[in-house]
Amino acid sequence: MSEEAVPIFEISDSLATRCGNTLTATFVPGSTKIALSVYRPIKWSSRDTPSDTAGEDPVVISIAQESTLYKEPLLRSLLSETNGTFVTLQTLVQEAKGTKKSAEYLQISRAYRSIIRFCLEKLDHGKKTPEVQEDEWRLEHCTKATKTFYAIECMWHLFEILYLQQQQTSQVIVHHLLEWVRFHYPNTEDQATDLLLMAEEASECDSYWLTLRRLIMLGQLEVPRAILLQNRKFNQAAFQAAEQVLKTMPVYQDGYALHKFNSQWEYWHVDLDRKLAAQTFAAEPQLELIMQLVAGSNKHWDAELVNSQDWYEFLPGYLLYTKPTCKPFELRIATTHWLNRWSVLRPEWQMKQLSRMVLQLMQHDIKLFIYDAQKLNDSHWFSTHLIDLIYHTGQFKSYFDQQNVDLAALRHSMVFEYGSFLMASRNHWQLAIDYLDFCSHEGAAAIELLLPRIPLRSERQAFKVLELAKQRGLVTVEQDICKVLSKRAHSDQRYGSALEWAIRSKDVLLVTSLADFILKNYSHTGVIFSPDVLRSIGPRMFISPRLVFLCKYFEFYELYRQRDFVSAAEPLINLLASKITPAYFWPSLLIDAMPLLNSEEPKLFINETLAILQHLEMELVPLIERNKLNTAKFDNQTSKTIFKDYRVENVEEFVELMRLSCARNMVRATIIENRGPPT
Amino acid sequence: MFDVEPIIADHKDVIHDVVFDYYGRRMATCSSDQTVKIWDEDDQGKWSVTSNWKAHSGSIWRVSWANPEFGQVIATCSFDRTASVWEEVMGEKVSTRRWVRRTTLVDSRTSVTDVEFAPKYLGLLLATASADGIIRIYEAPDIMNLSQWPVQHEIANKLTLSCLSWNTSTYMVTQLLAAGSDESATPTGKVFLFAYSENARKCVKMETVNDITDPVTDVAFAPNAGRTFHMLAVASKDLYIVNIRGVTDSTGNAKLDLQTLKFSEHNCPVWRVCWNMLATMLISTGDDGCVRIWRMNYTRQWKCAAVLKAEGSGPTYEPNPTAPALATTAAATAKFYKKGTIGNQVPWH
Repeated sequence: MSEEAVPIFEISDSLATRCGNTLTATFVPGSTKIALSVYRPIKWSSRDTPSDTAGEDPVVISIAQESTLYKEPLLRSLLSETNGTFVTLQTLVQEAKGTKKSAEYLQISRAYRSIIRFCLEKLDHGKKTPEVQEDEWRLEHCTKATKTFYAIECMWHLFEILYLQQQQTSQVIVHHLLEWVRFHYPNTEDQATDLLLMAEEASECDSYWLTLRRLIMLGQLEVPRAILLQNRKFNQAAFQAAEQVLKTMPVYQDGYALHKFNSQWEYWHVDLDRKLAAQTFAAEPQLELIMQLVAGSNKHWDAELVNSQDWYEFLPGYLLYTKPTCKPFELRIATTHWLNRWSVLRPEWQMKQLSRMVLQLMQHDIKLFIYDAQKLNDSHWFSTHLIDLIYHTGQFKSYFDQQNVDLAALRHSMVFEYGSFLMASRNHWQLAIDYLDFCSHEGAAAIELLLPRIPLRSERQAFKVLELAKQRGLVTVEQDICKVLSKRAHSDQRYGSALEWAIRSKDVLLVTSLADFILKNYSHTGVIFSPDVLRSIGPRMFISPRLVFLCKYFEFYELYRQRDFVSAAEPLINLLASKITPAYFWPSLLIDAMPLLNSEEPKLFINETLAILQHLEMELVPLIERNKLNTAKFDNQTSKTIFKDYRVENVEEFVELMRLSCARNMVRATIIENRGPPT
Repeated sequence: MFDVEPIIADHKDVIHDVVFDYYGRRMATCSSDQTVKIWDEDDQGKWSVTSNWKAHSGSIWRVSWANPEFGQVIATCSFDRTASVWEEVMGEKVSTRRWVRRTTLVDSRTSVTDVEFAPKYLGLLLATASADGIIRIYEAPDIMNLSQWPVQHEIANKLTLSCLSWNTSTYMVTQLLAAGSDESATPTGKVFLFAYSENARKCVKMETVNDITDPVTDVAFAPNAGRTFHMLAVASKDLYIVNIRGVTDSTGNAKLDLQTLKFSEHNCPVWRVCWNMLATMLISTGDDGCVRIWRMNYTRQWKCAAVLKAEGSGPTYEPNPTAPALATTAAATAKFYKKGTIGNQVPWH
């Protein structure tokens, strides 16, 4: 199978044709797309001149994507509902642990099918709405989807009858097959309804006998009887005899003893043959033809088969009249015979994909069936869910072992690929998570790789992704997303939000650099960004010493601005003594002390004043000295960049002023403090 | 079937690199016309140029996007012997953005052939490879100020270098970097693996892939979703996949076990290689005009799943002055024409 020729796709690009057809391609992250562009194998060693094709043909980038049906919004519910059923199956398996629960598996299979049927109905309904009617693209997609899912339902149903249902009920499958074919060839039944409504006039209709023959060949007995009953000639002998034959035909029902049924059926069949031989129906040639079909006369069946739509259309009906107790393993032989007959009758007929896959199912060629199922244009919806179900039922284990197929690996790979496909189609990533969750550690690793790549177009979406990451304990993913959002807010000049996200990311470096940014900006401009955020940080500040400094400074700043100098003095002194003051901020911090030192009413005591002076001499002055040295060594660095405050032009002058202020305040404080209690 | 949407790139000469950002919503292209273009995808999936500038005074070989947590930052490298770092900033007017040059790295004396930002766990690091055989690793110590990029490591090699790739996974071995050489004179190994050595306190060469002796034009480490080994795709005379296992030998030293797989389907020198996000697919492009899409099947074998090629590709091309202008055909959404006869989806297995 794998030796099959690799499919080749062509793309039109006139520049490529001119350049010796050299195309290159890259995957587009976060999608299933591929970007193609022309290349020329130019290397660094060649001369760098414009290529001879420059300006000749437009340079084109082609974004290619394997077609998918799921861009159609009507299919969205199909994906989400199957996701639910998939999860139900996985939990069922986990709970069951070893015990076989074929009844439950059958339920799951039916759930999948009912989802398809519902979706088909929805598509059918949707196609009639004006929105779809007027949109050529959607109409085309809906039609395609209907075709595909119709075929899928057909195959899934047959698979269920042949491989899931038979474990539940008896081995006799003909009546199930009849039901299957009836659903998939509803036209004849529609015509029959018309005939029933026409009552007596029906027999004048051109297609009267044709419809009756078709119904009989589809294995239906009740409806033809009802139609015949309305016939004007019903009380003639031939009709009465026919009614008798059809009415008495033994129909197998579950629970019958097989040998008893067989002898009844044999008796009935011999009786019919006898009637035919006795020319009982000869008066009505059309009726006789029907009776010949019921008797399973090959000659008459062949004549009718020439006009049938597909090879399997009348197979179940034929089995009903010739081998009503056919078992699944006998079906294989019956199918082969039938198909030989068919190909003789219809030598020009070409087997289509659906017909071929139905054949594979009937002939128990599951390996080929699964391979072909992957070629449907459903983005592997069918193959993934079916293989997953097959794997869990455990029914085909020995078959696949024989065929040398590692079913567990195949199932893993299919589910993994389907999950990553959904992850890459932008609207379905939340569904994708459930599939990857059931793909061992590789699925978990894939979630970790793909989740942070979900484009965060809004905060709402970001919270959704964060929530998911949190549930899964993907701490790094959570942090990465916060960092990206922080950076984005920063570049949008939403500094408060940037700080919030940075704190949430728990990245100390990032928080520190943002705190630095805010402090530096304050030194330069006197503006504190996002006071609201700073006010509400609270204990979260302890993530970074720089942030602690910023928050404490902000406390001081607020008191200071409210001119509450007495209260402001304490936080300022604490800050000075804190040992977490960044070097660049020393000038600003000491400048802030200036008005307190110089105020009419002394606000600072001796000790505090001494402390300020000490910081001035021990911190700021050495810094200035060091910086001078550096400036002398590397003239590209200036003291301006490091010591800059919007209130100060020259740092040296400021130091002098500071010393003076300290001295003056010291004098005043000494006088006040030593005055002693008033007498 | 494939749906194809052509975008007129409006570059004046061939494009050397098309690189998407972390989310696949932005695209950077660079060309022999010495310009870089930044593209943005709108909600309808339409791509349009949002920035376009002359970035170098020579052909621009490669572009690399930094991780979005460092902002909107790209690096370019060029025939003009320099590499540059660019950052998108707010313009003077509200809601306008423009790209400014943050630095020009002028250490190389020859063409800078490749540039790539390191995986984010290493911080904001940038590696360049140049034709004089030197790999330079630069670091931005202050992520709020990208104008400073001191050189952290400099690794000299005897052979000219054409490409490099960082490993994003840290399983068993950290800071793994691969480089390839397009030197054709010597019959020695052309792919080198470097890693940070705790003992030497610097990046050192750990291994040479001796199985690959033909000139190498591209290397790419695969993303790692739970594998216990690393995969490196190599574009050389053939396509190679090198499986790399980090192991510790009996003396406690870290070393690398290599296993080289060769794929000769191109039958022609391979130009570029590219992995998808989970490394379940690989694209290789060759001088035979084929873009091959490889898929790992369920038994973990690499199989070519599809081929894309230019329409009417033949071995020779005769210039045809009356070739129809592309503009008219490209405006409408084109379709790939499929040659094969089997179903319309590429089977996975």
